[in-house]
Amino acid sequence: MNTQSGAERVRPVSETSAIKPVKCVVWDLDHTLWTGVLAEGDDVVLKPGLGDVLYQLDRRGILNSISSRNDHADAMRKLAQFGLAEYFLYPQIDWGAKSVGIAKIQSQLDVGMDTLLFIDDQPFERDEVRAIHPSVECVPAESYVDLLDHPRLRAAIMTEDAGRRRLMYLHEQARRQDQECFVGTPEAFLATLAMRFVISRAQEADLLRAEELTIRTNQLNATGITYDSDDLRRLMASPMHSLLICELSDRYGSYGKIGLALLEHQAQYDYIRLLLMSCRTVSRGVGSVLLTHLMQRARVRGKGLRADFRRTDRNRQMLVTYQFSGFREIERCDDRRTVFEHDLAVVQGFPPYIDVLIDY
Amino acid sequence: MREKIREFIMANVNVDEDTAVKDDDNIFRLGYVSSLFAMRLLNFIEASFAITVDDEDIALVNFSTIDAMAKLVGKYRTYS
Repeated sequence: MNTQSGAERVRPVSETSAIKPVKCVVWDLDHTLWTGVLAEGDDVVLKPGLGDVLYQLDRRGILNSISSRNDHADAMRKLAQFGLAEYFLYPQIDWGAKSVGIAKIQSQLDVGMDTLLFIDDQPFERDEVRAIHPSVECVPAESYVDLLDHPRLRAAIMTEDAGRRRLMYLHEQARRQDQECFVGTPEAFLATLAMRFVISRAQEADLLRAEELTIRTNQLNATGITYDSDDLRRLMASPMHSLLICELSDRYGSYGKIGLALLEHQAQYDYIRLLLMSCRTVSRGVGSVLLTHLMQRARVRGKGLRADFRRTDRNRQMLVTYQFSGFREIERCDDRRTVFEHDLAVVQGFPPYIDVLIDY
Repeated sequence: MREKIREFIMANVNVDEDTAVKDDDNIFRLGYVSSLFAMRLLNFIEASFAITVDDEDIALVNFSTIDAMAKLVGKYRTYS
């Protein structure tokens, strides 16, 4: 009956951490992106094939940014002439140290330092960045021709969500600017977003994204266990299971598919084997929406509700979500797994600032 | 300590500004409390009183009233 025990699906750590995908490539400009030195009045020329490299990276959902010593306005004007300005998020173009620019990019994108790759023709600049940020991979300018075959840039999964990633960061930039000007509690700001949260059954087209979510999600992930799309396809077809996927959108645009839950239907219990929400949504107050739906669903069907939880060094927020929703630990297993149960006596409604649609 | 917690709650929960939250009021019954608020409340308590709450103590019951939070903070302060 109970075949989906969490432990057997854990992959060896070495297998998942050996190739940590790069999330953002940080480009130098002079003699790296183009030939020549802009500030010295050269008529700079884009390196051959570079536009295509940027385009392909972007399609894979890998972001691009800039750390360059130049005049910001001049450099951006030149990039616009090449038709490339829109590809770069949070470009850091000034006369300061590159390690400082890279720290800003990392903090603005809110990604791990070890997911950045820096490309620059000057050994001095690469050494300066490496000295301050040892986890940033630094490569020389000429390696751009092989960049698309770099193992850490090939590991990315091609999904519709990946292709929209840069746009979603741009939307997020706009939201943040508006939020900074907003006076009131975070909840009051959320109410201005007109958020819509749709919960549906996962379809074939969702499976790659679902796999990607299990790999990329750390903070709001109940178990940290990864599933590949074949595992998920099997579970999707199983009458014993429900695989649910969520999409969030607001007046700025869609956040894409951002939530995933795997329910195992037992005789007396609905058992949550997997629950995660993308870190894109952390500040949106939707972390408990899917969980609330699962609670309401179990209660309506007269079932109990249990959940697997495995503490990792990054998922404290998921622990808070479960425990503040009223789940209690009933069993602690050997493999660092905990079983939570909710008595469903009191089930909170959905947040007032979000429109939830159950589409299945 | 209680005043500091009360101030945070008054500023972050949609309650009537004229009625002060009492020490034994269950704040989770006063109005809608989001998962976002739960995390902020925990961060606020930890940062304001320089403590780190253990996993076992991250429970609704320890954060539902000002009294409960004061007791929780007291427990960690005795340890240090």
